[in-house]
Amino acid sequence: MLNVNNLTCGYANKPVLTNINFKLDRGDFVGVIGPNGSGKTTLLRAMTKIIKPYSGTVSFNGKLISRMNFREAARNIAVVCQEVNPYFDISVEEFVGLGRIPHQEKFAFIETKEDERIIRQAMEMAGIVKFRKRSLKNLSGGERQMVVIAKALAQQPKLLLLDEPTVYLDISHQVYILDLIRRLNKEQKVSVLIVLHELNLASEYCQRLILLDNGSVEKIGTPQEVLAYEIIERVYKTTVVVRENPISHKPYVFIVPEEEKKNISKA
Amino acid sequence: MSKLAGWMSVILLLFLLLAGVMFVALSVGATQIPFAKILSLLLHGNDGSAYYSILFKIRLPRIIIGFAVGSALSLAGVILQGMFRNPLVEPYTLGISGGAALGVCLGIVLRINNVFGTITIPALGFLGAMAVIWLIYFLSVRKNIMNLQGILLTGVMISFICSALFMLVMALARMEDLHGIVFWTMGSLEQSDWNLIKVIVIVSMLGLCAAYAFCKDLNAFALGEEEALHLGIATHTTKKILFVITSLLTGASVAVAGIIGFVGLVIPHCVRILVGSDHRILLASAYLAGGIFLIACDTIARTLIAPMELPVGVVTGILGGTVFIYILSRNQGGR
Repeated sequence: MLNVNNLTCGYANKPVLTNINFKLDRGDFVGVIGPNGSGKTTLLRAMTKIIKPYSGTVSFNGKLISRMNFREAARNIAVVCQEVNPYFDISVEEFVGLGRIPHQEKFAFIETKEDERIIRQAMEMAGIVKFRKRSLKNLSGGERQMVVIAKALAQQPKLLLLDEPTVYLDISHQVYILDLIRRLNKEQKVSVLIVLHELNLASEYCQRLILLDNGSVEKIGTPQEVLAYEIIERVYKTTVVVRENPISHKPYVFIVPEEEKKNISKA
Repeated sequence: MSKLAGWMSVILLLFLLLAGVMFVALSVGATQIPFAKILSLLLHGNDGSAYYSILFKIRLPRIIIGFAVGSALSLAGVILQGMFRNPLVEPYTLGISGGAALGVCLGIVLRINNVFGTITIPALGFLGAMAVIWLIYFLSVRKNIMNLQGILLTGVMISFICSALFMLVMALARMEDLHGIVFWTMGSLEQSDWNLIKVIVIVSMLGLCAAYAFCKDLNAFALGEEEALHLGIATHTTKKILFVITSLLTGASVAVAGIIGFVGLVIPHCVRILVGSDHRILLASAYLAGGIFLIACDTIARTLIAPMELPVGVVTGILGGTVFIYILSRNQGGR
């Protein structure tokens, strides 16, 4: 589905990512992790034509993203950013309705019955029907993020790109949002490429992880393969202890504060 | 009520309001014309009375210009505020009025204001406005990409420079030229050249049609440029086209009526509070409301101290600013 081949890209004349290679198949749930400044967000931006590759290619279903027009790209790929602040006051329903723009004709001013059905379905799936008439400005951070995901769903994408969608959220909202994304992934077969800072969330939810370091891929593999303590310590330059989550049996990364390091051998 | 029915009701209401304001504007002035007489003249044509001349040669052209200029400025304001995501942007923020004023001022001082007859002053204003627009465009475009914040800052700076140059030329101008310059900068809907009236009416209407091709793009712009790209909007091309549309709307308005501030700032903001921020209804509503507002302001300007006349820009500034502050304070108080 998504094929990234020898991708090198960045801003102005400064490369941020060099020689990135990976594939994503239909129904995959892949996480992108890495320290600050490692190029995670830049990678997502290269998937959506916002930045052009210096070299290498990004193709979707066999077609180069650079050859797609923005509308075609938006019909296939939806993006959920960390935060969306609409400038003008807008209701939840209106906001979700914006997701239909790539599918609408230029002069189709009113949503069709089909549009309305899809918008309703997206809101139901995200669990936001009850506050569809409320202004987006009056929602909490967690509720707002659910609305943003519903807008992405209304786009009916085949690939969902998410840039730290759980940042600033408490753990209950983090779990709610990621459960929702997993449900979409399983029920609708939407492929997911998600940037996450929180390693344990990435471990719990992603089938595979791409670990970036300094603009290059350090490791690609299952959470067990990537979240090995020696790899994490090397890339993040911090001491960690990795154990297995007794419930999910996924790796769980514990941080070790400076004054506790002397107790590592006991652990 | 469905969304479409709601929108149609808003448009119908605005059309009724427009008809009412037009009728009052036809009736009142230094010479009062009874409503019955207006109806009779509209239905039966010229009856040889002085009323006919007042109605069709003085008041009707003003009303038509008032509607076309008011709607064009308001439409330009809606587009710019949506594109820049900034409620303080209006057609004149970008220095367009400064360029127009400088063009006219230079024309009068250099005595080239009558070279091509009555069309010369509007043409100088239009040229000044266009010169500034293209200057901003070329200074802000890098690698064929328009930086919106760059445009805004460049526009504000050019506006300051134009104002300074305008004052310099005024300081050096002859006394007899000053009256013409000052009066033009305060704005007036008094225009007897039907060709110019036709131009502003056509530009204004075409502007509305062209803007509607981008109403959903403007909705997407409310989320930011990057989000608009994610929704499939070719933002670089859209920005350029919208910039050209607003430039033509503003340039034509300035050329015909001089500098009339506040319409492009206040009306979009007030209409957005009333009908919401969906550009599918906002564009048409602001267009009609801008026309209604300017006709009303012009009627006040020519009746308040009749038979003398106030510059319409003074009325739009005082009335628009006061109403704007009132609505804004009520809106904030309600939250």
